[in-house]
Amino acid sequence: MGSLHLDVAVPTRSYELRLALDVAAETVALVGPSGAGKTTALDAVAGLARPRAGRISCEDDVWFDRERRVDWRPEQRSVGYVFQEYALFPHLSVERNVTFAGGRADGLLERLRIAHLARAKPPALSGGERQRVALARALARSPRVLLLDEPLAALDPHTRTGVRVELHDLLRELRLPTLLVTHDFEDAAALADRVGVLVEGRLRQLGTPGDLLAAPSDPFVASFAGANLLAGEATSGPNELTEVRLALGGTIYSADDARGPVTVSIFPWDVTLEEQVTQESAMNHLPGEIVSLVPVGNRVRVRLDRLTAEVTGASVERLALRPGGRVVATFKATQTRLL
Amino acid sequence: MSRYLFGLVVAFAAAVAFAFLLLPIVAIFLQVPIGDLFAQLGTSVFRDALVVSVKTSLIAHALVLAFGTPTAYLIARRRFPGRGLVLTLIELPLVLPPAVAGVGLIAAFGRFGLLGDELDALGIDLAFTQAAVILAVAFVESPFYLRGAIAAFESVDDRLIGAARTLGAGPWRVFGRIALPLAAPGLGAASAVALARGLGEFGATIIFAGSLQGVTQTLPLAIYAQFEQDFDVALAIGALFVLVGVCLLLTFRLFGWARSISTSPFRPAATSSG
Repeated sequence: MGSLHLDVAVPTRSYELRLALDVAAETVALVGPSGAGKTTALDAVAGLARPRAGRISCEDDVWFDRERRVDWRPEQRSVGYVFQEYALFPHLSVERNVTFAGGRADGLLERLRIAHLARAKPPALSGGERQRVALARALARSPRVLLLDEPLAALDPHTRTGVRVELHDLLRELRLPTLLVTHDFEDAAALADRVGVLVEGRLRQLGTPGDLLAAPSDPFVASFAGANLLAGEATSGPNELTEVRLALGGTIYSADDARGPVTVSIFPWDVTLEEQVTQESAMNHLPGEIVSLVPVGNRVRVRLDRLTAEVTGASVERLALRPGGRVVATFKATQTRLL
Repeated sequence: MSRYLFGLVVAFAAAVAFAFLLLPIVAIFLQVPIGDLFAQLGTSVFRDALVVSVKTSLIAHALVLAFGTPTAYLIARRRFPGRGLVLTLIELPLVLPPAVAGVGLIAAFGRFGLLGDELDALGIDLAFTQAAVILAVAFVESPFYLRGAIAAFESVDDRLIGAARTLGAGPWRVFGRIALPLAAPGLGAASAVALARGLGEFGATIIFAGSLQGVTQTLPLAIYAQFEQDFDVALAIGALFVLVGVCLLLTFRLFGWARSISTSPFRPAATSSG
């Protein structure tokens, strides 16, 4: 099975991207805020951006090695690149876009269900169709590495979910070393085997989507994964727990060990809502006022003034939750992480 | 009241401006009956000048396209030290009187000029030849083409070039299949403007190549030569220029229209810096 190794320093407009990564036959997502150097990482692998130092290799071929002065041109590397907004050639038909690298398009067009669009030109296509054309074009050269830059960002939310499932199946089937850039943690969790969080050119954390959710390494990773963040001051508490006095008022307990200023991280799905405080020692209680209720799939996101909880529709009915109402957010000390 | 006055002042200024710009052009066609006008086009002065103009313009234009297109591509796609200076130098001839271009060409290529000895050794004497006309026309129209062509190549999205390269395309294929077709509307417009400027070239030509009927006398030079001897011939040539000009402007409009449909709605074409 193929594999991609990179260990590079690439200058960008604002800072230097430093990234060391081994990608086996798997999908690794690079997530992070815009301007973190995600696209630069893909460009470096494709040969469109030149690293200042480092090495890039694919299986036994060295594509770039600064010390040995190796630098293969993009056309010599075997990379399938799906660009942000797809970068389809606007003056060529779908078929000619796909066969630009040579070979035949029939099979790929069939497989991606765009055979009927073979003669159409890209400006006439919908977002989902363009995405498939871009994938077909990237795969036409039988690449050894696949690079996907925000493949779902240009799609409307309605198309997005369906296309995400298709892309997931396709990636599993291809089993190519794949680098996927996204700013959406949900996309990353759905498509990738491992997720790397890139902030200001540095890899903050690399792990499975589960790892990142369970043990985010810092506040940025936690908030990126959707956690509630509360600032506070940690001191030693009872029962070997850490007591945290919150900046916004109230005291909570965590099983994590820390002293001094900390950021408390709690995931919305670990928070339950009660009408009043129930006495239970390992539980944290934060009373609050409901700001909004937003359905997300079969659950409801309830935003309180200090944190967000994710509960079932049944709970919403049982507690008669409505904006302006008062509830108590309850969560376990073991699910309260200190960062 | 003052609003009414303002409207009146603006309308008056516009009327004067339009009349001033259109009157000489209309006059060309009104001075002599149209039939007589085109009868003048049978004279030998006109026919000789037409042949010289068409031949020299086409050769000069072909040279400008052949050398200018790769030059514009290079300047548009590469970032190198001194690029800003190069861009300024390209535009310099635009603000020079053509007569200065004529003097400069003599200083460079004339018998006693910079390359005079070298050309003499090769047995080449440019003075009063069609080659001199071609050099003068090419020199004067080049900046017009280069400026438009650089803007046209700059408007091609870098990501499309990058996509072509990751798909295995070498530099020839990237140029021929992606950059050239996508820049074509802009190149066409720049080419039309440059050709029109070349056809109308006067100052540099008369100084560097002279005005010999049948050899170096182009249509604009023929107007100058004829307007004291036979004003009707001068008018007829003038009328022809007006018609050619209208055709070029229509072509230009057509290219402008083609540009707006040839690019994806998601990537508005970058407007030219010129």
